[in-house]
Amino acid sequence: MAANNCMQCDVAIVGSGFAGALIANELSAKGIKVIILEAGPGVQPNINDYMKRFYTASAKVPESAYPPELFTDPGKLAAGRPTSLMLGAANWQDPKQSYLIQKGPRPFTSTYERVAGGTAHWLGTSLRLVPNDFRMKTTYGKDQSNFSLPDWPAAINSENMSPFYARAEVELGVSADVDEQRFLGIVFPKDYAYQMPRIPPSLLDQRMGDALAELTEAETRFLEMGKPVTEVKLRSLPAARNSQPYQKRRACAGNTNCIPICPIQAKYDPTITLNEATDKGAILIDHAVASEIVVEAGRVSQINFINYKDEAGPKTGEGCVKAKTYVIAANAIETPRLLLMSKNQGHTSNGVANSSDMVGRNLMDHPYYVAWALLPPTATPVFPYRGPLITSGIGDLCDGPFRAKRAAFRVDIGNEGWNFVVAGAQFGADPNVTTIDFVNGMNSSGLNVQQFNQLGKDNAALFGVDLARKLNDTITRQFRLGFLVEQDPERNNRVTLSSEFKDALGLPRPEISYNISDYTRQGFVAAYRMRKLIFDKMGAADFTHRAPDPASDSPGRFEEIIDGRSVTLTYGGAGHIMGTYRMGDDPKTSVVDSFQRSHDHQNLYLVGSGTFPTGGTANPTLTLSALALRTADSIVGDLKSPG
Amino acid sequence: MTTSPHQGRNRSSPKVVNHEPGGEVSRRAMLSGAAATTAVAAVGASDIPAYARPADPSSSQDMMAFLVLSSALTGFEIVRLAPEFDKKNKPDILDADPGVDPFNIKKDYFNWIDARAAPTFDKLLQIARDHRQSLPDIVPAVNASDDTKFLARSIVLLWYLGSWYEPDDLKKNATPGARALIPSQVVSPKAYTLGLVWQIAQAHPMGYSNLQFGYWSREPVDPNDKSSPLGFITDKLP
Amino acid sequence: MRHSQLIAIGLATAIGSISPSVLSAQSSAQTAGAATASQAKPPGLQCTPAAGRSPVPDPFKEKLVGEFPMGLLPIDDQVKDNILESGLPCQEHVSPLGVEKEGLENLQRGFDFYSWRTFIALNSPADGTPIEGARPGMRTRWEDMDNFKQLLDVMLPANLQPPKWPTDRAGMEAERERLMPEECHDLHKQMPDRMVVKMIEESFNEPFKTGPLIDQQGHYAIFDILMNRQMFDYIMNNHLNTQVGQMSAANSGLSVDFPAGNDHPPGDDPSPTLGAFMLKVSWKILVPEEIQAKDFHMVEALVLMPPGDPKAKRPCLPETLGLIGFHAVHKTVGRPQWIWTSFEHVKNVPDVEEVTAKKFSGLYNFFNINCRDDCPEVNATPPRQLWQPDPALELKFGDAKFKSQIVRETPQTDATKNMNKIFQSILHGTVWENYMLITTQWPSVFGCTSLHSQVSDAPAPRTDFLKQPDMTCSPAPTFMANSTLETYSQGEIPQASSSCIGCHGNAVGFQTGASNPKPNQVLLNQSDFTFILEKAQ
Repeated sequence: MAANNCMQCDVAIVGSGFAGALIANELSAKGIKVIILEAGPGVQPNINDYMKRFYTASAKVPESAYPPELFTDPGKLAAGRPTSLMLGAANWQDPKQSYLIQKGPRPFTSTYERVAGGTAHWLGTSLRLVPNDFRMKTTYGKDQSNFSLPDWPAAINSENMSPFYARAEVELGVSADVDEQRFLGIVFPKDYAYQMPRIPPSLLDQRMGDALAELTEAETRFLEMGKPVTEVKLRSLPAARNSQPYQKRRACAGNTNCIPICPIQAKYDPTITLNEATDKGAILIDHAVASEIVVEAGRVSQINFINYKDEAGPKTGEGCVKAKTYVIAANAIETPRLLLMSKNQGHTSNGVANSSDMVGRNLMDHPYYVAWALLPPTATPVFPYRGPLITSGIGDLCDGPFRAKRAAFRVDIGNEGWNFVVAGAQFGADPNVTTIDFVNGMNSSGLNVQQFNQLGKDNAALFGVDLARKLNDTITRQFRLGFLVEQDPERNNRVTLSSEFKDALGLPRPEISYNISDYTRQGFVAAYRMRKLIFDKMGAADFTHRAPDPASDSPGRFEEIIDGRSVTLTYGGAGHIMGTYRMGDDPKTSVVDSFQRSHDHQNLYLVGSGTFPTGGTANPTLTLSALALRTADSIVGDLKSPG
Repeated sequence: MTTSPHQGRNRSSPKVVNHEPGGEVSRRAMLSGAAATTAVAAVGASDIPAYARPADPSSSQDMMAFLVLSSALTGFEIVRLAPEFDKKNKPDILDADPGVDPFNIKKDYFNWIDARAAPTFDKLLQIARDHRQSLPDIVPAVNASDDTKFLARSIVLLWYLGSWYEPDDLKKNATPGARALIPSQVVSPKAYTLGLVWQIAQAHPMGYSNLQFGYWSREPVDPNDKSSPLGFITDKLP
Repeated sequence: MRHSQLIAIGLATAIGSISPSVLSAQSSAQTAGAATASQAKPPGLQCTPAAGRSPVPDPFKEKLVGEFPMGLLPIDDQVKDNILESGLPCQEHVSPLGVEKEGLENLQRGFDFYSWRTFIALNSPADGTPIEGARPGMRTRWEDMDNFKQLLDVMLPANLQPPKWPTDRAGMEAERERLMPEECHDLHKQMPDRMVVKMIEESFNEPFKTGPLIDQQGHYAIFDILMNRQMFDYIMNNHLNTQVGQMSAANSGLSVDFPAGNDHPPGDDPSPTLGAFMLKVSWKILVPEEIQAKDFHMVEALVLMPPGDPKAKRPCLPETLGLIGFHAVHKTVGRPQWIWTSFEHVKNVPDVEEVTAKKFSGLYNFFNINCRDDCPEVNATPPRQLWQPDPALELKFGDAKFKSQIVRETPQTDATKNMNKIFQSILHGTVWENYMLITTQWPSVFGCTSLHSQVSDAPAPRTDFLKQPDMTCSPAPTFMANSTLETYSQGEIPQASSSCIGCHGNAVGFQTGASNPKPNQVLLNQSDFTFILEKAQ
């Protein structure tokens, strides 16, 4: 790549998702010249195309609103991505279907987008990490030499992060009630107020909150919280979802499809900040896949990229960008992929920024345990499919002495019925599955038996008034829970490069090795018990673990003995990809410092949730946004100082 | 975001191959020989019509037959399926005015079904005509034979979900208690947003809410309104 | 056809019409200068109620759906005069019965006729000259400070609150002076009668920041929003003119409900009332040749550029503006979701059929017919880095080579085009024959709309679900876009593509509080289909 043909700027950023857009905006506001390389298409003038894709998708998975086409051989895509449809027993290890080359032993089940705005398919949850999340080793692992969860760098703790969280919350526009969020020691300044009042809780939230308001110690002993638990509070989730006009965007109208896309942009997505950045002069180059980070004399000297036009490629050209400072913000799989791909003719044969050998390692998710249930016919309905997908959750159980032995969990309360959980999603999504059961005399959902259909016979096939009433009666009593379980970092959970499989631009696809540890699995066991407690308190019949077992051939399953019985548990992905270029004070065991600056290259920053040494149970977006703003300040400081 | 642990299984392709139901006389064949076969079916006790004439999307009588059929199959009152429907005080429901509303989804559905399953569709319309005095009589007549039964199920799913499930696929999977992923195709964004199952759930289609901020925190049922929240469900003709 | 379960109390009042023979008697109510000494003329724009209840809303006997009826033109002089003098409707008069085949078509025709009457009444000269005698550049009724007030003169910053709208001209002038921006003082002294447009981001960047519109001479199109006295009064009476006011405890249970236009309001004062009315207009900066040609309704204005770099001075520019787009939105007793009508200059853009057939009718304001291989991408937004106007360039776009290339994606229906032909012939000889109706959007499920009517005795619904399946009561047509005001969100995808009622149904204010503080008590922060309230500072 001829160096004198490169574009020039002050800061080059790879990736236009949350971290990339926030940094670009902060820098552009100060007059710093920024170029952003985005692998996928640019910002669209309207969301007609995205909404059309969503509406016409027969599987409304998180990726369904966004290009590229969902059912394409990933080898034939210029900027492919994992999707939720590549995770079944038959296809998770088929390179013609799965973009990620999954070596196992278990599948990595989270996905991402490669379009301007990055993973805009997020739900909007904007939780802060709790204080102990930053200090796992010190708090819970001092006495265990092989305790796998390290501390974050000394400079990053709940108190130091508070002002950055606040700045991130302003940019995103978070609706929450600060008093409700002061749990487990989360630090807020004295007169802090979120930008907008909290999102009102749903009917299900209210019912579940009532059901968990009075518990006995015996019922909650399994939680090992270290103190008696006689009540479990449901709290509204702080969300980047407008409850009032904010930044000239409308307030939430409860479209119930936050994932994958809010039709009225009441939910924040990074194209908002990206547009602010480009308004201020940042340049966004779309359809530009970064292919190599060039290092000379210990510093990054340029980034090469490949251009393409059509989803399927081929490459239409090449380019390069030269800057004083470089930021890789391409998510926790694509960033290590780029670092590892950048071999610099053998000078960085182990990849750029990788003297620690940690690049790609410690891949973490929040393995997600879903449980779903049906209220009895005598109960007042909870009316799912109304409101944002999730409005409240249980966060109070995510910290305690148990963390010395088992992973913590946070609970999501779903407002969308059995939409993506019915029958373990083997047979499609609800309400389609439930409807088809009662139309075609089938029983995919498990509901069409006498015990649950109150029709005096199994496998009823109905028409007309009977059908309408039965569906009304049934659907309005369905609800689901989700448990985000903390995953501990493991060296061998990692992203490497496939030596065999490439994308349409000839670049090696990411290869994944992944498993979940006993620490995490014991968190699932606790979640399993919590599920039972909640369902029992609500009088609901569990469908998660009902025969025939939906988990029986899931590649993500594992067995645990719980109360003397063998139980098959499965996990999904929360979309929270973390850990693969982690932060630390010691360059031997970490890739970046607390400013997310590479230990190896002074002018290289790696941002996003890939820097998280541990994941806690909070959704990573707010934390990665706060860290990105801290990084932006550091970059501004770099550019001001001489040399 | 959250992926179900099992989600990879349901790799339903968005494109369903369009085909005429196997073994049926094709519409074109029927029309080309039509001159010789213009006998009108007698309205009578027979459940399977002796002859069903081709459906005509521009005929308001055929559209009314379709609406009567759809009302019987879905349990929805006709005015919910066709908001501008007007009985016009005609004694025979087939002479009523189906009306034209801004969405006019009934026309989209009529054409969609007609293009894919015309002969059986014609039979179903004839059943509706034959039993148009009493909606509850339509369903047993429809269920009497497999071709009408499964097309009727496709039609119900079309109204309820805005998606097309091929009658053959439904038939293949209709062993009692079967569990299966049945492929489908969303007819159009408009059809998706007009799916009836969401009204049955007292909600709205995911991705299409005309409601206002905070509604989810309140009951869907208005204590002031003494009528049933599901008043649109009926087995009576207007 | 009308849902029998739902209360249809408003039905009778909504189905009425103007009897053509009685139209001529209404003209006197409108003439501004005709107030007699013995009766004080109420301030603001007055409306004209319908006289009789003839079942035919418009006087034309022919079908307008389909080909233009032979022999319909020229319109009979008496009919023409009746229409031109019929005044501003207080409410719509429509019926599903009529000449067209479908009920919906008859209703749409009724609304389109109502829209043209509204357009004529609002654009008639403010000094009382009838519209047929309007000369280019005459101030219209809606431009008069007695009738409509600009948004920015209501949603003032705290140090200028509260806005005033006196009933006497001296008072109105004083308020105008009070709010005159400092940057415009000098020019205003030299040109005291010019309309002042104070730009904010929404004055050049289309809703939800979808982008600016650049004409063939490289100038920004300019947008402005106005409201009438009844809307203003409601805002002031309920303290909605500031965020603090909206968030006050007194407003925590407020269900924003602007007054509705009504020929026969209930209660003690039965005089016909116009109700709330809001306008959104788009302007083109006219170049000398265009000013000469007199094809546009023209206004001499002072345009204050939007705030940008706080260190740079905001230029206040004398410009001659030409009207290119006109949204008129009227809340009526029959349509509490408001009636949304939109007009455009006939030369704005070609529609997609004309482009495919290459059947252009001359030059366009926002489309270049002479480009070949170098045509800009159709309906693409301008380059993002340059959206913010540069004070040094005044109102010219930063990239001199860029011009918006806009196509109307949904052509007007035949019926609307035919209605336009009729009215353009009626207005022939005035500049107003260069304007056309795009369509009128109105909520079509009448039983649904009547649930929210102030006139209806139905108790206010405690839950949105009574209006299911569609809380917006099924707008007809489903989608609607003005090529100058919703340029980049044209289309037919639900939620995503432009629909007046669909989008405005999500407008909220700043009222706060729990959504259901007590059982059966509902708290709404809805703002009754207007984004004006969210502009409060």
